[in-house]
Amino acid sequence: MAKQPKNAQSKPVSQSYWSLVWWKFKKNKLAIVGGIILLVMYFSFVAIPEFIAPYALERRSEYTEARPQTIRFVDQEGKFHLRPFVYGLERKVDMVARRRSYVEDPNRVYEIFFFTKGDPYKLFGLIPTDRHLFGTNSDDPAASVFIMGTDSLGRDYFSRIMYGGRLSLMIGLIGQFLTLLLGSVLGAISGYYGGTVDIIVQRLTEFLAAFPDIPLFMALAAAIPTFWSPIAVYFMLTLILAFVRWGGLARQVRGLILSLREREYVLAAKSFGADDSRLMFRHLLPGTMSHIIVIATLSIPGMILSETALSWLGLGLRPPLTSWGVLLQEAMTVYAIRFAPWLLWTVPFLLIVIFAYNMLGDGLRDALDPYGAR
Amino acid sequence: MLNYILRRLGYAVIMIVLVSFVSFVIIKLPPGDFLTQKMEQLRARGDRSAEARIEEYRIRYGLDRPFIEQYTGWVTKFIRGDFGESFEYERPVKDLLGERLTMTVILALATLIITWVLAIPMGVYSAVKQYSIGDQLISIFSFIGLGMPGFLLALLILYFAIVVLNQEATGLFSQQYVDAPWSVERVIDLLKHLWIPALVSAVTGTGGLVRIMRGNLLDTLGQPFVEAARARGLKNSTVIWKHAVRMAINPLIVILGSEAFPNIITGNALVSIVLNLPTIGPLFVESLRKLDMYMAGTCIVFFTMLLLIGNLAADLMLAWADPRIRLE
Repeated sequence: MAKQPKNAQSKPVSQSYWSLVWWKFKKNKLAIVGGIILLVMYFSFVAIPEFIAPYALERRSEYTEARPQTIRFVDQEGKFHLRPFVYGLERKVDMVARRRSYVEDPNRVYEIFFFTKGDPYKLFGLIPTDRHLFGTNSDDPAASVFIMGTDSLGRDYFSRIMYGGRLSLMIGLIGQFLTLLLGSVLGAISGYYGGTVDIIVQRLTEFLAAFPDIPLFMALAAAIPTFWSPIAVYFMLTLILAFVRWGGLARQVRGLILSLREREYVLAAKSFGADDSRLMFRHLLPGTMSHIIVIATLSIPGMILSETALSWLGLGLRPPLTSWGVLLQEAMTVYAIRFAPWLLWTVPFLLIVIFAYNMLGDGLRDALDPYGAR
Repeated sequence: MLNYILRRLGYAVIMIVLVSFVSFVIIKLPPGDFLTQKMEQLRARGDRSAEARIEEYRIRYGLDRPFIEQYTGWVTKFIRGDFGESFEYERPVKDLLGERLTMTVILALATLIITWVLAIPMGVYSAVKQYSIGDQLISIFSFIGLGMPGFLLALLILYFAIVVLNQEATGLFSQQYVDAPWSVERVIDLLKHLWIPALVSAVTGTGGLVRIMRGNLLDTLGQPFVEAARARGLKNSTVIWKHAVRMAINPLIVILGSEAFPNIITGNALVSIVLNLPTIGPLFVESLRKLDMYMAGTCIVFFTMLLLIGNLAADLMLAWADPRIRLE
């Protein structure tokens, strides 16, 4: 990004396109907030979830479907403690409903410490360590801290949401990247060369558009063999998401290229002897960049949601892979909603990501047209 | 005009044939079929005669024949109105879909009416009173609706209904009314359940429509013919509703055809699954998971048909509503 002069009004210097964009973007507070939320979320969910989560992904405890433990500062006598603490969980069996549940036992107090030792892991996949952001710092297995409860196997749900975020958030980025690659290259070729290539690409996008997209997703995802390794399933799913969605983008890029192709600067470049690839990648595609960025930002949430929906239906990722959609599978039954509603904690995280992307994308759309009146 | 319609219909037929073939291929892609899945189940249960029974099924459903023969056999029957048999239910696909069709259409129409009745006045108000508090509130609401995925909202509302209101919230009827004949009580019971899907669609469906209506009307209100109407001394409401809205509503007609119409059957399959509604959507998802191929294929072909017909209807309606548009 070019540096913004302190007083843009008094210095009539000409501004580059990108510095104008940045200037306009900065004024949109909602977009800035969205961008910061996304940066923080991507950093904590993709880079360091092992550190933030108090437990390892598959670490089981004896507390199955335990309710969340409230983090407290004030004890029973009404005394305020600077160090937060939780009450221990105690099993209670409801003979009538034949259910086990857990209640907090105010007599067992476990203080929460920061940067405690816990399950070992490798930070960034490289540095072996066992420090976690918070925990009870006790070897007693009853000294648990489940701030969002546990699932039916007694695994800490907050930790699972942290790990699940990595796959869910990454599939949005990787899938969108592949979509962009497919859509912009095919769109550009089709718009630039015209003729037979154009007709083939056009018909292909029309055919994809004629397929109702949710059923197409489902049908393709259902075709992933069940015996494939989880990683292969993950990449296949990403490919499917990209494959279904590139058509719309290709059409828009094609339209833009068609209009740019006739501009004088392209003619000038051509007369200087620029070859096709130079024209396309140096002169034409950059012209469509701002448009592509906006579309990309606004369609990443759709990508993330498609993965969530497919995995949740049992057509996408499967355990042992953990994504937010896989986590939601457990929250699907009326039984779960009634007796273990904390399994819905995944939903707020998803919604925050989606709204943050929408806020950012909206700001970008306004900013990338800095010459516009709005 | 007739020429145009015929050409579009011919194009649609080619498209449907292609789509049906491709969907057949896709369903055939995963190794194994419904019967191999079933055989594993039978074996796991320790059924010794599994192999023989599966072989019997294989011949009955024609799964022993080559792929092309299976496809052509299904298509020729399809044209005659026989959509094949569902492996899972061992009943004709036609009956299974027919049972759920009424409820699917009722729900879709209810959704459609709710979203449009809410969205158009909200959009108009928002544009006429631009930057007022009401406009700001409507804008916030519509942005939330635009971003909010229906099935997540349905999950949240379900949580609210079950945990906070302590209400039985899934399905369309309470236990005792599911098979009961229509009566006043049954309708009341239906309404008690209908509010959740209605609310979901009101939030998620209106957002986009409100934004489009608002944007178009703002553009239209600035045009000279609106000023001319005002100058002639027409009432404000007449100017807005008869002159401006009449023009600004055209893009919504396209949406009605290309999105709302196909939705009659796709009708938010995900929301239906969360809320356990007796519509076609969940049936379709189930059939994909079980590789129940005639069921899945029939559903896909119908989706595509509705989509294509909807698009054509949208273009025709637009030409009818706005005579300046020429189709050729």
